[in-house]
This record gives sequence, structure tokens and C-alpha cells, in this order.
Amino acid sequence: MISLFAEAPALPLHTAGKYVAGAYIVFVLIILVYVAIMARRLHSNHQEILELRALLDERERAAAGLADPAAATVAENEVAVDAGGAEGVSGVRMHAGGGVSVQGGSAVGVEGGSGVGVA
Amino acid sequence: MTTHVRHLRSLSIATVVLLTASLILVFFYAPLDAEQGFVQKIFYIHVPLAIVSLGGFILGGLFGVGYLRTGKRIWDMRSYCAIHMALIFSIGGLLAGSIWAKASWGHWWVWSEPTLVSYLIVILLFCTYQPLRFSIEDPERQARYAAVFSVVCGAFVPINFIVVRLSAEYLHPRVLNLEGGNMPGPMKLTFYTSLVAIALLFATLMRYEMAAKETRIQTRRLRRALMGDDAIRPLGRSAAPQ
Repeated sequence: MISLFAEAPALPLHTAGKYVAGAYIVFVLIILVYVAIMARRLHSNHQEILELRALLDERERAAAGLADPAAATVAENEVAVDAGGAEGVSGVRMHAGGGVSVQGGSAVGVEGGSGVGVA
Repeated sequence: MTTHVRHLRSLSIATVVLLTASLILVFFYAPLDAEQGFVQKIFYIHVPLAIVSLGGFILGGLFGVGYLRTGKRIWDMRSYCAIHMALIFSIGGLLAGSIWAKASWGHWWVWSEPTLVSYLIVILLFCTYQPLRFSIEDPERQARYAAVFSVVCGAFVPINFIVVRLSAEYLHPRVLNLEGGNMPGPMKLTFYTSLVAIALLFATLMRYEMAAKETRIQTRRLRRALMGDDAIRPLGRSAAPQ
């Protein structure tokens, strides 16, 4: 490949170079515009799939809650603790039966928890 | 994994490799043309784009036959994507040819040249494909009418090509003939490499387009299954197969 480049004659860009460059640039631009449009469509489709996945997860959680009342309580607690996590609580683990352990933070305002451990 | 996504990665890699190889051959291997000089390099992009686009229109017609025979929507989708891609490639070919004409003839366009005008007629003919689809709301009718259109216009392409070839007076250079053209070996190798590279690019982009459309359809089905018909935004009138 290197020898090919070494032996290749210099391109006469000074004469008709602008036309040749124009033709190839037009080709590349058309492909780029097409790819950009496809990327935009792909992005919107990806967003829609994420939205559907979030909805599916929500439904699965709700269905699991209806099937197991204890799990439903845990799910409710999880929501409450998650809200607390936004204020600086990290490493929250929920346990069946209302047990909550918190690592590296203090759990404040956890409802329905019968055993709270802070590590 | 769907049929359209399968082999897409290997096809994409092959396309990039061959396009790169063809560009290297064009600029560092193929000799300069004795008459036209450096401007002739445009020929390696213009002619393959024109040939592949015309092939794409014919392919769209063949897929249209597939739809009319089987009634399966996948053939309508293939026909639509082939014509869609062929239109994009033909615009590229037209613009590249126009630039070459300016450099070689001193004019962007020559109306008295049968090759140019007939190519423009084919492009304009296929430009009406999308409005035709858009004007029909019922998807079944849309697919059927579009298939008939693609078959008739696809058959027009080779007829038009032969008629222009029989024309006595033309300025446009003849690149290929039944004997393989009158190019020297290195030019021929470069030209055929470019032709295959552009054909691969067409196949790859068409597959991407089909995969994207199929994903979109699957997403809508998923949304309908999860949220019911009411949650689906009305499609409205669309030129694309749904």
C-alpha cells in the first residue's frame, strides 16, 4: 500500500480538481444527509422503546404487587425510600416484611419498616 | 433477529472496505484519460451511481411483481425501499453528471442530449411514486397500486435505455458495450470495483432502511399490545408501507 502511494503520480488538482472534488463531495453529502435522517428516526424509535419498557416494568411491578401483598408493601416502601434517596440516602436495600438496611447514610421518613439498620 | 438485520454487519464492513478500495484505485491507480484528463475521475462515481439507480428502479418493479403474486406486505416494503434508495442514488448520479458536463462541455445541462434527458425523465417518473402512495389512504390499495406503478415504470427503464442506445446522435460518451467497453485494463478494474462498491452501498442502505421500517412497525405493534388501540397515534396518510 505504501509503495502504491509512493509511486502514485501527484493529483493534478490545479486544473479540474474543483469539479472532481465537487462531484465526490456531493456524493458524500447525500450519503451523510441520508444517514443523519436515519439516525434521527432511530433515536425517536429508541425513545419510544424506552418509554414502552418503563411502562412494562411499571405494570409488572403492579402485577407482582397484586399477587403478593407483602411484596406490595415492599414496593410501596421502596418508592418512599427512593424519594429519600434523592436527599442523600445511598445504598438502600429493602427486605421482605418491611426490613430496611441503609449503608453510608441515614434513613429518615421510612414508612412501614419494622427494622432499620444503618451501616 | 429479523431477515433484514441478518448479515447487515458483514455487508456494512464489505461496503466500507470496497468503497475505500475503489477510491484508492480511482485516485492512485487508474491512469489519467488522454482526452479528458483529471475530470474523467468523475466517471467512476457518476456512471456506477447511474447504473445502480436504474438497476434499483428495475429491482423495485421486480419486487412489485413479487407483491402482486403473493400479496405479502414484505414485497411492498422491498419495492418501496428499492425505489426510495434508487431515487437517492439517481439524484447523486444526476448531480455528479452535471458537474462533469460543466467541466467537460462547459454547460451544466444539455437539453439536446438524449441520454441526459431520458435519465431525467426516468427520475421524474419515479419521483411521482411517493405522491402516488401518499394520495391513497387505504394501505392495501396503496400497496397494490404502487406495485402496478413500479412494474410498469420498472419495465420502462430498460426500454428507455435501449431506445437511447439506438439513437444516432449523442454527445454522451459510451462507457460500456457488449464487448465490455473500450477502456484499458487499469481503468476497467477501477470502474468495476467502483460499480460493485456502489451496488453494495445500495444493498446495505436498503437493508438498513428495511430494518428501520420493520423496527418501527414492531414498536407500534408493541405499543398497541401494551396500551391498546386508543394509545396509538393515528397514522394519518403516509407514503411508507405501514
